[in-house]
Amino acid sequence: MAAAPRPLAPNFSVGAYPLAVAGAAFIIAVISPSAGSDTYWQLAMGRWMLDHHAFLRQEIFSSTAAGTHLRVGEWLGQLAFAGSFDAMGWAGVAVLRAALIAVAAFFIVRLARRGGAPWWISLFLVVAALLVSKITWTDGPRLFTLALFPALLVLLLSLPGGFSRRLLVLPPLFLVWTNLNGEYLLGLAVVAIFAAEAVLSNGRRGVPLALTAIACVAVTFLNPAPLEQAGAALEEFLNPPRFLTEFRPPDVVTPAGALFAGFVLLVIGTALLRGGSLLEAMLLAPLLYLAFTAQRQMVFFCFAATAFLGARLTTLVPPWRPYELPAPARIPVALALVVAALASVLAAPAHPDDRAYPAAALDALRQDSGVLLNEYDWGGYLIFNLPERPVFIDGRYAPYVGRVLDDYQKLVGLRPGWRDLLEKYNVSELLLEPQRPLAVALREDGWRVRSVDTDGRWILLARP
Amino acid sequence: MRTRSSWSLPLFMGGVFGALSTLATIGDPDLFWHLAQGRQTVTEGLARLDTFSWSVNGLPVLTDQWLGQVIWYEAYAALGWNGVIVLRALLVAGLATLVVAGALTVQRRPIIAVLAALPAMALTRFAWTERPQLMGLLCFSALILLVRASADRPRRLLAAPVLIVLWANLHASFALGLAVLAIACGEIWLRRPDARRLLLAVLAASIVATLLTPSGISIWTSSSGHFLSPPRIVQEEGVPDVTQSYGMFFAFVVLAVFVTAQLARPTVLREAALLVPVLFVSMTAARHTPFFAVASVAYLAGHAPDAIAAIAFHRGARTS
Repeated sequence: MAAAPRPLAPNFSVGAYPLAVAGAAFIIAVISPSAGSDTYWQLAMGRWMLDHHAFLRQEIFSSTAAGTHLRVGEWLGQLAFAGSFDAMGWAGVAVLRAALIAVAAFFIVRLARRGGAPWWISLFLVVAALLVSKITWTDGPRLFTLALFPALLVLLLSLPGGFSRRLLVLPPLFLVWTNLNGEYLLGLAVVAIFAAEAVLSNGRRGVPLALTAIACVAVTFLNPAPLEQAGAALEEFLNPPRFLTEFRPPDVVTPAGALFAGFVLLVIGTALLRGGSLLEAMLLAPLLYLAFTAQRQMVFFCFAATAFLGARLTTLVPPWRPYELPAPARIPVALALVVAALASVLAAPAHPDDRAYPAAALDALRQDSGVLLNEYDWGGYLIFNLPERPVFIDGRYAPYVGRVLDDYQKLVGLRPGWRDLLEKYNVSELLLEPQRPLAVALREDGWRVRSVDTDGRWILLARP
Repeated sequence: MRTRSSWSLPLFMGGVFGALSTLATIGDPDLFWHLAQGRQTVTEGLARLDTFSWSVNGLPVLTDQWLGQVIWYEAYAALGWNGVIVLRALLVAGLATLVVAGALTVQRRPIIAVLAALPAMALTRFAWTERPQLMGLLCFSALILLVRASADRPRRLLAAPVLIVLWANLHASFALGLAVLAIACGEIWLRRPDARRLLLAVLAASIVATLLTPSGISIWTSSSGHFLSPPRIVQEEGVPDVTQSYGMFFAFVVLAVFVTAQLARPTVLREAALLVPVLFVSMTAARHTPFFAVASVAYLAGHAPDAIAAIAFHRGARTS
């Protein structure tokens, strides 16, 4: 009698490639120190919630918006990062970031391999997609969406028509996602698209997915502030805050923009030559529009495009049999990379890259307590490192939209009325880039230089 | 060959859009220095050094749009501001005529051809400016029509060098035209070995044609500089923004091509080779967005009905 088949072995072999790429992505991601300005305020909010065992519903970090209502929708994502920080310091933040990017890489490989795309085509797509995503590797709750989005796509693309037990995974997934990051809405939209396509294509066999989509929507209300989350996401979509780089439209003469353009051109070019499908059109067209609205959204189009490009490119390139790793060697290689990834945790940086921040100004700032006017990008850094000194503005921008943000731009840009605003807010100190018109003007007005960066990155001025 | 009667619809649409363009006021801030430079060229000869400013006085100036500036100035000199409006209307009419004619090369049903041309014309509305740039767009439309008409009759490409030499003296966007021409020649080269000598001659003559301007070889620095490093500080050189009205039209055209490519029958290499590079150029700056809209009209006219039918069939197949 023949030996019973061992189904786990081929499964491991199939999973070896994604695992290997995920391991490599982890190693690359874990060695970078934290650098994003938003990371600091995300950690500060998470730390406050950990310390007080409550949601942070009122603004406490700024002098200009103190007491105003705060959105708490991403509480779980902030807690996760703050918990990692508490456990391992900045290395913990790097490890969590790397883990999420590794998850994303794992599922993107699965997407790119659909339709039997050879490893070299899929690897090319995966690397390109991850490079596009690199501009959004800021340590914060959004990384959860970066990981969950490709996972959701893999799940949805693997669904058979009709009912499947895999559908049961979706509501719990959204229950967690909705509390992690506001962009769960994108996931909901994707589920809705798949449901609509399933109903269009399969009629009644698409109903289970449609019902599951409704259940997913329902569980997203199990969030401390579901409508606030949705409202904020909608506002960002309709009126992207263009003064923030990540919300500007994709610029194809930048590296990430050029890669994004490459994806767009590849998808359209290959579809022109080989055609596509209703699902691809329904899924990628909205994601393409979303990507056009802001460069931070490019990544989702690129991730989703890998699911269709791999197979189509395979039909367009000449038949070629590149070197394939022998099947028995694949699992050991993947395991070696995973072990290396685990070992690389030791190389996780214990300190953030704070060269872009006014670290040397902190001591001087501690000695005073007046109203501080700070650079927008440094607000989060100050919140985290100097919570006793309320900021004027910071990267959360939502509490400041309208009045404070407008006033800030008038002030630092030396627009008409700036002197009145300086008095209105009773600003006693300012920490700005020295070339800001306001900094130049106030130096000429006789404001005292309390501290200045020797490399010319910041200046701390005090009212005379 | 197109019959005389088949030009009636393009000419009619050209008349409609030309007339519509007269409703727009003259307001492009660059018009005035173009007119001044055109006047200087007509009265004193082509100036190669700046005379209008005190800050860069005596420094070299670009002469890449000299013919366009002269034409705008002559229109102004002849009829005043009405002359500018009439010239703009003629250029817009020419543009609409060529765009609709391009759609009719692949689509016999006039209503569909016109519908396919409408998004492009809506997007070109943002380029209906009183500047040589509008002439560049007209040349681009002419080249697209020529390239499509040459697919089976490569000898028609013999007209390309003439168009390129005119274009190179009107506006720096001729570089895109040369690139499109090279791509078209490359595609025909693959299909028609018998035409290779002709294609080489056309391409060589077109390259030489770009040098037949007062700027000579330096005309290329103007084009490449703008393309590789767009001055984003200038609004029209900014990244296409789909939350602006022109950007919405651009997004609509891109998505229309995108969805059509997904759902319609696959097309030939020529179409992909033409549309993909032009799309990239259009994505580089707001002012370039009309190029893709114009280039894609014929494709949409020919294939969008298939895509719509595919969706209808999808639904019909399920309900039946």
